Amino acid sequence: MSKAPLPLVKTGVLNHIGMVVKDIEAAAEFYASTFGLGPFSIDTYTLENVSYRGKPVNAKMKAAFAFSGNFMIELVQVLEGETPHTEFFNAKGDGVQHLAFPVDDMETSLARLAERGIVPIFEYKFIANNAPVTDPDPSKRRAQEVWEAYLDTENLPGGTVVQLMQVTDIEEGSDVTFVANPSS
Amino acid sequence: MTVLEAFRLPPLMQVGYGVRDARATAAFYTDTFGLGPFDFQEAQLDGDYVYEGAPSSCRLFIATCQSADVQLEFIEVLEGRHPCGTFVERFGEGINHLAFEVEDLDAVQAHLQACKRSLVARGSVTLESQQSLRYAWFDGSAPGLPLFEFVEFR
Repeated sequence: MSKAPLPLVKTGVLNHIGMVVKDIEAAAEFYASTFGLGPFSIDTYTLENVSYRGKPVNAKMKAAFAFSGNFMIELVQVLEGETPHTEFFNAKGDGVQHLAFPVDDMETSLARLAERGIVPIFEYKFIANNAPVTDPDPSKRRAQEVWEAYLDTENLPGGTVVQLMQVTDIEEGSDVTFVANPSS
Repeated sequence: MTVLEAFRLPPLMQVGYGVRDARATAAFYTDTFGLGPFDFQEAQLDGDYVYEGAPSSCRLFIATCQSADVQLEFIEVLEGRHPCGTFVERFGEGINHLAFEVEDLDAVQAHLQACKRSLVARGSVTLESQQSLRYAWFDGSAPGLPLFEFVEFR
């Protein structure tokens, strides 16, 4: 019996979808009041010197997170700068821009994807302490380094940006901080 | 019908895409990201199927797979009118709905209509898997944001 070929990348359980919205407070209020979804935690994030289509950029965005079971729903409103979210918003308006899967080894995953011509269009690392990255229970959150890479899959079957995320536990920090541009 | 005083979504059941080729999309996600195995089936929606307020019909080709508790669904519209076809025509392929299983579809429908949400589509169907269900799709807060599908299994 022949075995199915191994996938290019072995992903974990689907983690979240990310929606780009024009007004994050209005969107969070809509989902809460209409569907009882939430509460959303809304924070402002400043990204400095992160990689966007191979160039370092700065951006400021608001992101809101809520869980539906163990599944996370993310809302994003870009305040300043150019990112894949603004590309999406300018082309389509509000909508679901990405879905995200965890990987154990980002470096190997990106190298294998590159062999197939799939490259990251947006990439950064950040330190998340007590941030809603993988667990709906705030009491279980801990300091983690998160490496996220948005792939150029929007023009491939399914039409959606796939985001890979590698989450690594670290020593307790104090804040959510963007720390590095992985491509630099 | 009861209007729910405090409606709270159950855990997400499904993330749904509108696509042009469900089999190709499933193959891409399997080969590239290791998702699957996928199930494939056709579905004919007619009889009590209502789309944008008028009786309608459509034929779909659907690919589904599980990722833990959440199902990924790729819907290709073969014939007729369906929210996924309308989405692809307007925005291209992508995620266009989130689906939730509910126990009382009528109560959810009454609640959302009281919230002034538009009923986009509704009906019932028995799938090739012999699973019978009623469904209702409601609009999102903006045109491109996901529709909310509620499913009552019977």
